[in-house]
Amino acid sequence: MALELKSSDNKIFEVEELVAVQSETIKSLVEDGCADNVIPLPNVDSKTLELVLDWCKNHVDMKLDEEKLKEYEDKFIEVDQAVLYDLLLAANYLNIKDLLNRACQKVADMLKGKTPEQIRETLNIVNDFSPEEEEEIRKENLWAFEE
Amino acid sequence: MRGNNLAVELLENILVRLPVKSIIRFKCVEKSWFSLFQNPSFIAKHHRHRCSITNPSFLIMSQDYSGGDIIIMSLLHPPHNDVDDTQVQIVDMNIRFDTNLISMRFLRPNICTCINGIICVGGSFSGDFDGFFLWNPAIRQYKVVPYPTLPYPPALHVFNTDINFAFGYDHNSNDYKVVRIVNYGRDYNIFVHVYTLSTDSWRQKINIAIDLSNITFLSTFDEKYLNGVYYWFCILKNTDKHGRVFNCEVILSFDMTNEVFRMLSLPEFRNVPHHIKSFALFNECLAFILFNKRRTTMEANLEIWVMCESGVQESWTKQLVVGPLLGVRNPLGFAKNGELLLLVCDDEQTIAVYNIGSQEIKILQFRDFPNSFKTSEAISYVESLVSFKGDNVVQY
Repeated sequence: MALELKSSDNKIFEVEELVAVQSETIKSLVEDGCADNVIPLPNVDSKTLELVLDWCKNHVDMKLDEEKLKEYEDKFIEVDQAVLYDLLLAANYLNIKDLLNRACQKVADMLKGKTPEQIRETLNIVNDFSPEEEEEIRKENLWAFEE
Repeated sequence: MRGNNLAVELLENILVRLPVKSIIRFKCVEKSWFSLFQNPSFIAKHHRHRCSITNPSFLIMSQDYSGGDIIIMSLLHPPHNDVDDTQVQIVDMNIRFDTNLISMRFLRPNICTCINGIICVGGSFSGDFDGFFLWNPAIRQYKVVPYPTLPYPPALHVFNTDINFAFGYDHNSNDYKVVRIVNYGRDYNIFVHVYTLSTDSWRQKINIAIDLSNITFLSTFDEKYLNGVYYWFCILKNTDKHGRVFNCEVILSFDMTNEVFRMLSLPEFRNVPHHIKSFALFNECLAFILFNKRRTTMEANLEIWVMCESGVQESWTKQLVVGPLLGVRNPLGFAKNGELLLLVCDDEQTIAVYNIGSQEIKILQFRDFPNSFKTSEAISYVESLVSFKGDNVVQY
């Protein structure tokens, strides 16, 4: 059984149902009988969707080979920040648990050693603490800033 | 990364995977992060995640029995695989406390346990301080709590005054509790006081359904906390139908949520002379270990019984037998879901790790202690974010 998925930039992907239903979001649509036509995925662009579908396909193919799957996953997640971010959002939107966990872990590993300033820059966060407030928090936990 | 702020659940899914040091560092990133890191639900999720991804480290307690009664705590990070056994990281956890509040020199230690990354150490300290402290070494914070004064003044203390403690977690109210049980002996009442961290106060428990007056608690450190219940190894004085008094060994348990005492029977093991009995935690269940060392061959054999259903004494099952082992003195506990058994070696200091499956024994290079120090306990430790508030909280 094949399904048709449409990315945000209007590219159509034909996918085996078995592969596509690794996404809980798509699985619900199939179960509700809404998957007869093309399924639009306005939140995922074609570049990211292609990667995501590759993940899903390999998880079906390599299901019984744990070692091979781990090797694949390790290689898969070695992407630059922008791609990782897109994968993260796509995995969240499509509700693909193992990809989501893997992507979250990768982001966490990236953030681990950064300074607060670098965190804000990476995640585009505005600091809403006053300089005095921030200084007080830092002072309380100076050890956390040492190596 | 692009500008949109990540959805809260997604951000949480990422942040929950960070080690404690990073989280503390990121408290000042933004106000919402600051609140998130104090949220008890996030703290619990974070700890659960840390427990799931790592083999726990061990908090090793070594006690100086030469009269100094100093306890040294070390954190032992076991190797990630069984091959790397020589590379054990040891962290000296003894910190210099503020001398106004407390000094590490004990006169009589009476609690030493670790739950959810919080270490509870209590006793009589030099400087006339009687109390306990809760310590989270991962966030470098501790809180000092004095014991409530004993119900009767010191002059009335008889030699057989028995004081016992428990430290536990009430998962219903997400609260930590310390219990003190004072038994003055036959003619006096039993006094039970419970401290709760959330209220930072002690209260006396008046209605104790069980009769504790015929109970004698056995050794100070042979007690265990597991899943909301604290267990002690005790002797119960019974009278049979002819009026004769006899002793039997029992387990006394205290449920941290309901604050109820119960008595449970031990497994029906065959009594062997000179064996050491102790409790352990085996794969989320209470375990009872019988350790027997033959004087002729110096071979040690262990029988391990497990209470498969919590609180159900009929569910005691003889889970396995281990041995013969040479060079070991007594068991410390299990690690890695019951795959590994830790024991103290004959020198009373070094720790041996026995792999139950492969039957291989490895000695962990530990630290050099003076001869008077003996390794008394190994408790599994996983770092957490739990912090303390109220009086006497020290951030170092």
